[in-house]
Amino acid sequence: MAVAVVLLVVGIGAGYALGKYYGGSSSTGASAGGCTTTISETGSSLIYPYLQILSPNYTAENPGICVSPASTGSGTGISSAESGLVDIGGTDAYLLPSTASQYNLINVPIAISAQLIVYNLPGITQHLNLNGTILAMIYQGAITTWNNPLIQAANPGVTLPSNTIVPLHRSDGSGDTFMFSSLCYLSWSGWTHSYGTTISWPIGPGAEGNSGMVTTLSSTPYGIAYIGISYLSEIQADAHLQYAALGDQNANFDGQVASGGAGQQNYIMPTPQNISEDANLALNNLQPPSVAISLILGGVPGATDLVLGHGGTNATSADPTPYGDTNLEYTLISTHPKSSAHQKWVVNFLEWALTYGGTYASQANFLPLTAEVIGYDMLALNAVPVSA
Amino acid sequence: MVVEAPGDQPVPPAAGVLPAVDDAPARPPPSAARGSRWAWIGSPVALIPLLLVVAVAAVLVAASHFQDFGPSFWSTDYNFLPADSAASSWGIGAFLVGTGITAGAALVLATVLSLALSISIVVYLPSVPSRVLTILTNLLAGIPSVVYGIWGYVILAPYFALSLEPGLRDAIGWIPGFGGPASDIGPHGLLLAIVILTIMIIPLTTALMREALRGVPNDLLEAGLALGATRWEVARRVQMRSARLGIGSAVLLGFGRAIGESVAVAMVIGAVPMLPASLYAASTTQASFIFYQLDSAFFYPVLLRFLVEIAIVLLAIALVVNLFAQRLTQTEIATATTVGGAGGPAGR
Amino acid sequence: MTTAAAAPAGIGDGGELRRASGRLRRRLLFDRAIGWILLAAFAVVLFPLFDMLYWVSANALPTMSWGTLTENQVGTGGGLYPMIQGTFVIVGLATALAVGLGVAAGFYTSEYAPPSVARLARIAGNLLAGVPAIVLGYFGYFLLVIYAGWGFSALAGAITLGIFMTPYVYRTTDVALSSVPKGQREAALALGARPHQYLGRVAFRIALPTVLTGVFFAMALGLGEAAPLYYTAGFNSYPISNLTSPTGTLSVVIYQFYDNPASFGHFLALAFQAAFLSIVIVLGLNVAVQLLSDRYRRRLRGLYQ
Repeated sequence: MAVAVVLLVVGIGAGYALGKYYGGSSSTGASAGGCTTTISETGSSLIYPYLQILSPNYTAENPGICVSPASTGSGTGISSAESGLVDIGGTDAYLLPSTASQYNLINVPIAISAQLIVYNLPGITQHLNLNGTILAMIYQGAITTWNNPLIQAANPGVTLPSNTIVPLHRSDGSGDTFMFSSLCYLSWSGWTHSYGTTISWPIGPGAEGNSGMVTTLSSTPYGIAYIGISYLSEIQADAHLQYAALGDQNANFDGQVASGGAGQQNYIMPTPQNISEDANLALNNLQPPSVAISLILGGVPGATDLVLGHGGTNATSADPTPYGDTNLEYTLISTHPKSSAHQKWVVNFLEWALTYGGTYASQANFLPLTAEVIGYDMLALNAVPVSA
Repeated sequence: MVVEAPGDQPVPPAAGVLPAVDDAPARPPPSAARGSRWAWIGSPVALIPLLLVVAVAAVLVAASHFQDFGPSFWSTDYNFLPADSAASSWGIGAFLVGTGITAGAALVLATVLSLALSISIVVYLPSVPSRVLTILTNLLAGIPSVVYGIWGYVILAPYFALSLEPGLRDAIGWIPGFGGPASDIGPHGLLLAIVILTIMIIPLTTALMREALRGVPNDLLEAGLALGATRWEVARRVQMRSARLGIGSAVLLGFGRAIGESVAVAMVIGAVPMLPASLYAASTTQASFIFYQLDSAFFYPVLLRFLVEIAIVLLAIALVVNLFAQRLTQTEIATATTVGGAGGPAGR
Repeated sequence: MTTAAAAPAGIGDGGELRRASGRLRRRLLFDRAIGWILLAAFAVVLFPLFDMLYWVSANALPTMSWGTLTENQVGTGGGLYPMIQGTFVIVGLATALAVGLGVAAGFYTSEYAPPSVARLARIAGNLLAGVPAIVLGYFGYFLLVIYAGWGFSALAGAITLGIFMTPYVYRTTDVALSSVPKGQREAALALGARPHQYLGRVAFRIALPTVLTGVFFAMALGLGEAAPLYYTAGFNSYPISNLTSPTGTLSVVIYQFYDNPASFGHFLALAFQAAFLSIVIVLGLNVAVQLLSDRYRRRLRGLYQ
């Protein structure tokens, strides 16, 4: 019996003691014990791998300064930043500028991400052409079968099946849902389901996380899903799945719906070049200059809906090939820090990440920011009061 | 320390009547310390569990900010418009229906299987296999609920979507719930959630039923066998009849566990807050919804309050069901869950 | 002492079936068929168990190394040391809390409280066991993380999980003390023992194995439950050095890391390894419970002789 009691006591105490011990002597990169300053981050599970890749590299150049990211969720990132629980909140969706200033926070984009439209169509192995309007109509139930005239018009020469489309959505709250519902909202005036990190989808089942989307779609013939580009290699490895090219005009084009065809459009593949092109077109000509953007819409004339805050531009490109389902990944930091000495390192880390992070972005399947956005970021960071 | 010898104290007649105590006499000897000057201190300490239950309820009510979602709160109309939350509708009917169907059906399956398991363990099997099986069913309780969920949608879901559900629909589609539109069939849905929930609550219901069956005096069992009844006849006519209250309480407590499961259900049910047309359809439950929507609710204060009110309703249902289970019988709930069969207090 | 141990041999055993005829034979055959059906139920239940165990092991073991247990989570690889530490700290503190509250309340319920209070306390104990884990998670989030302003922290997680575990410890303590044989009490008091001496030297010694059984079971439950921890303890990829830091745990890691592409380093493997480690710990606790109850059985047998 004594043995059992001792075991219990050891169980209670051992972890804590071991933590102290290993904390001081762990050889694997920065540990809590070797840190003079720890920069805490929590939020988006999409940003977590990126920050985890940056963290040891930053600490290697700045001994004693550790970055501790946490994978929780964008909503948690925002609420933690608002209540000052963490130095950095990570989120896939921007914080409304009015809300941000209420909590003395600023949006600091740190990378560009994109979304794939993936489908499971038995017998069809090529990349289909789709666009925001078609997707919005599918997810609202206005288009129910694959051989709908609108889809057929966008894909001449493809024999589409007459099966019912199964639109999958995310069951958990997600930046991906924010992006995709924004795309639907912007692309079709008939969209009645608003946009946000979670919405009430009128049809189709939900799946948990991007992993759940890939797994579920794979066993859902005639299904369609929106999935973060991080999962490109999984999707390519799965014989059931293929992803779509998106039309280059993501703004409202109800006129084309009325005429029964998809009209003149280029269909763009989500290649790194095309995503960068989108970012370059839109972000280098921001009108007005704001980094609070839900969707980066390169080459969309006059797309400056400030209510939604999507980034459009009037600029045209000689070779317009922007991939439209693209967005920014954000960090939130305080402009009224509790400790300006501590905040100095928070700002220093973000400046370092903006300057050198581009070389690591591809490891997390992100794209580096454009020079113009980095310029905005640096201006914003310079305005944060820190001790010299 | 001045503690009077207990024998000097008058004993209240009902003192010491405790459930599950072996052959307690009608007027038991005094509890050692009762009647000492520490007795009054004991009451608040003994009521710690009550304080905790009240605290949980109070914090949730406070967190709801008493937001009034109007009479449509009890409807099945849920439509959240994030950018226009004033135009949203907030009905919890679909959540209640999803919770009821999954927990109810899982309970029917789990009751049948648990009865079979506990009868095997108590009546049919010799000591060693019965103990091994007890450990194994207990191990089922120790697998993290996240693993159940991921296993459900990675391993089970494809079979459900591509073979089981289409097969069931063809074969027994005329039974209400097993027909419905073909478009309901998919990797997520009520049926998969029911199966996962069944597996998850079996350890609890089995443990409780096992204890209930063990509570039947051995004399009855032996008398039955001596009179020439087969083991099954004894199990059915003697044991299950004598233990029916304990079995009933096990069922209700299993229901309480089933409606509270969040993570695993969230991963397999498909998260659709609408009334399902069939057992293959995606649906949602209260517990899973308040789990997977909490992160998003930090963006939208109204949604957060809605989630808290769902949590309050869930808590109320869980407590009422639990009280019914306790009224039904004085089963030692925590004990039966605890024991792995062997630590039963009275060592029956 | 248990009917399981005695597994009564009915008349359905071999010889009778051969000799029997007519109605008796049908009854015996039916009995045998039922036996097989009951065993089939075991197969239905045990298949998921073994399949899950196999699936988790097959995905966890090939990439598991000593570093999994000792290294921090760095980049897209590394080990699970911070989450193992976090799990030990949180489950350890939660156990301490549950033992403190549960044993005290169970002790007073069984030994001190007037019958009406004891009755109410027992009902409340069972009610607390029925509170859904996710509802407790909400309670911990609002009370500790937000209102108390602790943020995501080991302490908030441990208290929430401790409340989750308390009713199991409480009920076993109560029942164990209540079922100490009357003879023990009478003997002790007759020999002139004071009540506290009786409780400390006799009752608790007899009840301790059962109480520990309950404690271990509560720990096993707490290890597998992510819902109370997800929004109270948070997440951390470094070991914690104080109880106010966000803290990673194995059960939360499974959920978080599984939602990563297979192309991202070892996240998926780490998720499976976290699952494997929790299952191993739970298995260990289960074995401990069995060993304890064996001791307990032997001791009781001695007592009654």
